[in-house]
Amino acid sequence: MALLKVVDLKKYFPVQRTFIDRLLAGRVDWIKAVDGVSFSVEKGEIFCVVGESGCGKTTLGKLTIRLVEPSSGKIFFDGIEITKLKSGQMRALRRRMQIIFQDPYASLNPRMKIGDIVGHGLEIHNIARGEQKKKIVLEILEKVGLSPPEQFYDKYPHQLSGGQRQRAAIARALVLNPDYIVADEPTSMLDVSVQAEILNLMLRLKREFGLTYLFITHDLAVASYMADRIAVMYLGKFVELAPKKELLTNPRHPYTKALLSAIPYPDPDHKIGEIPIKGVVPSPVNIPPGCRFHPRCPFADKICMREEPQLIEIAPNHFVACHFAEKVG
Amino acid sequence: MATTRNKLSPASLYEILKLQHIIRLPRGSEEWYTAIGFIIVMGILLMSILAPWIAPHDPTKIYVGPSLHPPSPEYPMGTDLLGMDMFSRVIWGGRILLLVALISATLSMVVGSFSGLVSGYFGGAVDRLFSIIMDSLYSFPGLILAIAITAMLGPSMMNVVIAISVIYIPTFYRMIRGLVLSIREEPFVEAAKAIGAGHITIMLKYIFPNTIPNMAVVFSLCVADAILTEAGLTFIGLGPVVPPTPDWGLDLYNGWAILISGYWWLIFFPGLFITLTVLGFALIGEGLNEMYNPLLREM
Amino acid sequence: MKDVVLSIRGLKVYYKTRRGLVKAVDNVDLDVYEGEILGLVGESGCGKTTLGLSIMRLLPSNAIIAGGQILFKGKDILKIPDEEMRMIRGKDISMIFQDPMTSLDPLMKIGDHVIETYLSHMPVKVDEAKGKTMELLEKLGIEKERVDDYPHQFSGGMRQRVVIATAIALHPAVIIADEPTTALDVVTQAQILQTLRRLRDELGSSVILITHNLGIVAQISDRVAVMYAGKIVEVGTVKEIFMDPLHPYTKGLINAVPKVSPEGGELSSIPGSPPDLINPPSGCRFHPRCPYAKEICSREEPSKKIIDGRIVYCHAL
Repeated sequence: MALLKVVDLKKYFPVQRTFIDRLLAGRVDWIKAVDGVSFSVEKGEIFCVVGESGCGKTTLGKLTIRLVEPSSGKIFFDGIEITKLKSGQMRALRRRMQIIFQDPYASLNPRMKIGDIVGHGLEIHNIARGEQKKKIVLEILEKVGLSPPEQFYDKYPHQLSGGQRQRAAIARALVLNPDYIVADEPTSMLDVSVQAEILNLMLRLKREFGLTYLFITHDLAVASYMADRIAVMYLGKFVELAPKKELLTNPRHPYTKALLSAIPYPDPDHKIGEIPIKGVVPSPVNIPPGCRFHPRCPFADKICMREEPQLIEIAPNHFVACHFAEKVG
Repeated sequence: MATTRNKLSPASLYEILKLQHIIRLPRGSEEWYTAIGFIIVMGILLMSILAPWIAPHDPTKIYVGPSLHPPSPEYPMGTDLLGMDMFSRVIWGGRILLLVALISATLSMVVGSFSGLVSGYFGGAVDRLFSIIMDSLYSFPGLILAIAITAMLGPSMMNVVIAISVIYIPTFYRMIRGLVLSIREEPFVEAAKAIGAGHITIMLKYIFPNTIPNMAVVFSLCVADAILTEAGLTFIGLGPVVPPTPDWGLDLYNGWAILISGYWWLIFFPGLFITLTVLGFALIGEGLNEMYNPLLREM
Repeated sequence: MKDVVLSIRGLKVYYKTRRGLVKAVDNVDLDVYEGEILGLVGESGCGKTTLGLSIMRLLPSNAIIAGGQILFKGKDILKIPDEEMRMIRGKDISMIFQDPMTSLDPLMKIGDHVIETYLSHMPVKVDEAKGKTMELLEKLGIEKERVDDYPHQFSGGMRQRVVIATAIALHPAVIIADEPTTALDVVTQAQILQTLRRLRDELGSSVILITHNLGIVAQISDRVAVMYAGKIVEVGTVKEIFMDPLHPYTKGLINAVPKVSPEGGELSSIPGSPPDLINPPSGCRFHPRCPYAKEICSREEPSKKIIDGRIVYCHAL
């Protein structure tokens, strides 16, 4: 059964305008951060969303746990339509869905000790307090590799390295025993050697606790290490969605192909050739009509400027949003 | 690191305390500012508290000495028109000033910070309303505002405290509100929401504690300014004190009238101590400010 | 055999901070050959940016050069007067910084950035400089009609090209590129890397590419120098470093980089974290994290060893 199901999710942010601008311009412009995304995540899988900065993947992640309110669309968690819940009901459900942020330096309250940061959730949901809470927190700290846990319990975030802080953030997410964790670029701000440790830790924890991840990253290499399925996102929509192996060996969308060809391989014998796309990512305020990728696409034709392609299943479990998906392969 | 054997000299005591990480010498200009400011303020606070025991004479007793006697060994700061000992008056004279300034600053801090916190966190209509009120208050020059309020309410101690508090409420409000607006967007606040924390918890446990260093800075500077404002009020006759209460501001008021005849010590010493106290608090504030918001240094 | 165009010997650069003296670059030897792209790789805090800034003598005010020399065209450029260094900067040695958003003056037309470079080093007139600028921009893929546009009208990738234009305008012998593509998206990054490679071929300049990204190092470097905690640990050709790393840190680093591949491999990592540079570990700075550490490693700093033409600093080899 799908643990998470998202139907036509949209999030539009109004562009900040000064008073005079608003008076003169009359209309409001919208940043269409997420512009109609539908997918489901199965229990126990790692679903990766890959895209470059500004494509909306972070917003999407936060939407799935209602940390950001959707403009429209539905979200189902374990069958419950969470978009309909009131804040009180939502709060109770939050135990089961957690998030790890990108910036290990900003995601921990500088004025709280690690033990309190990690254990606060236990108090909020009346699970444990005092000595009981400390016991649970120490166990979790041990599990995420902050050992000896007693030492880390009383430390402040600024006394920890980037990797250690991210472990603390993972501990905070785990302590409530969630089913689902959104990992928003959890390693992009860490050094390469630390990144490897954190990724391996996350895989271990997933097996041990039976977790489901929505893993967001801009790095296809990291996605290929972690994912069961990968969704490629561009300007607020998915352009391709497939199991990892399928996506990497048989990409069908021109953007996916371009991304794959542009990644610098740490292998001197595998040099990047010419990248088949031109131009730059347009601003999410001015989304091109029809297929939003068409201004940069080498295969673009008249239909691409008129009609927006839908995400269609062109092979088992392999979805592409492109009028020429068959040809591109 | 030489320690004098068997004798607990200041040098060895310092070494021991340094080893235990209790104290150390200030390092860098910002720590020196705070340290010196702290010493000055502590000195003056102690002086004011221990006044009954250290003042040589009763500061309100007239004709302890001859009238208008210049500073001498017997009367180190001279005597005033009614023969009161200026030295004793100066020792006693800070009490009311400090009390009023500290209470006013605290009141401003409580009201200003609370409204800034609520305003910045919730935004919307509440924020707009508060901002307009605070901006209007802020646009008045402090002393003028204090004069207006005191004139309205009458010059009692409580009214002066209220008048002075009102001046600084917008300062705290703006500072806290600005901080809250930026802290509110930080990932660790989002994380608190994600684990299910409610508004009150987030405001009190996640946002407010991160404003404390800045509050300390503004508080010190506010006390410094409040002292000046209060002395100013007293100087123009609207102060909370009446003769013969020993008060630096009052002595300035009295001494100013006859200054022209050359009786400089009547205003010099009270004025010096006002300046010193203000300097002390300002140094603490500036020093703390440098420590928490250091001027951008090249990386 | 190519000539050495820049030679660093025994360089020590320390930062004065409130907590103590940070030994950011500690006794570094490095040669840069003519016409090569040398990748300078390391994780955060290893000192590679400090090294780059030292060559340009653009260190912040709390930095002290505690020793060593940088030989360029027969002179030790650490010792020459400021005036002379200013002549060299931009003309013989230039630098490309990380963030194209802040490297350009938002109030100056992009063309003017390049024109100024010409005017300050060569006795040319403004028209002539403008002409050269337009040619240069075109070569870098910017339409010459846009020479009078302002930075905010360009995307990040285009801005970085303008920065590159200012860096290469005077055909410098050495270009230092400090994380030139980190702030750019992956596609633009690939394009900029192609551009850098092309420029090296056409101009014959040497490029010191400072980065933490092993992928881009593999893509365009000829040789690679690996830094850890303020020291060089290994130098070799790009093939040698990636196919057959010798130093345990290099090995660990290469194995920790995720690769795009449908089959996973287990990603290995390096336990522990980079050391405090105020009180670095005794002996070899990597020894607390090294799987091959021996007793001598904690006592003595390893000296330079040359194995098959490669430079390594390690006791275990």
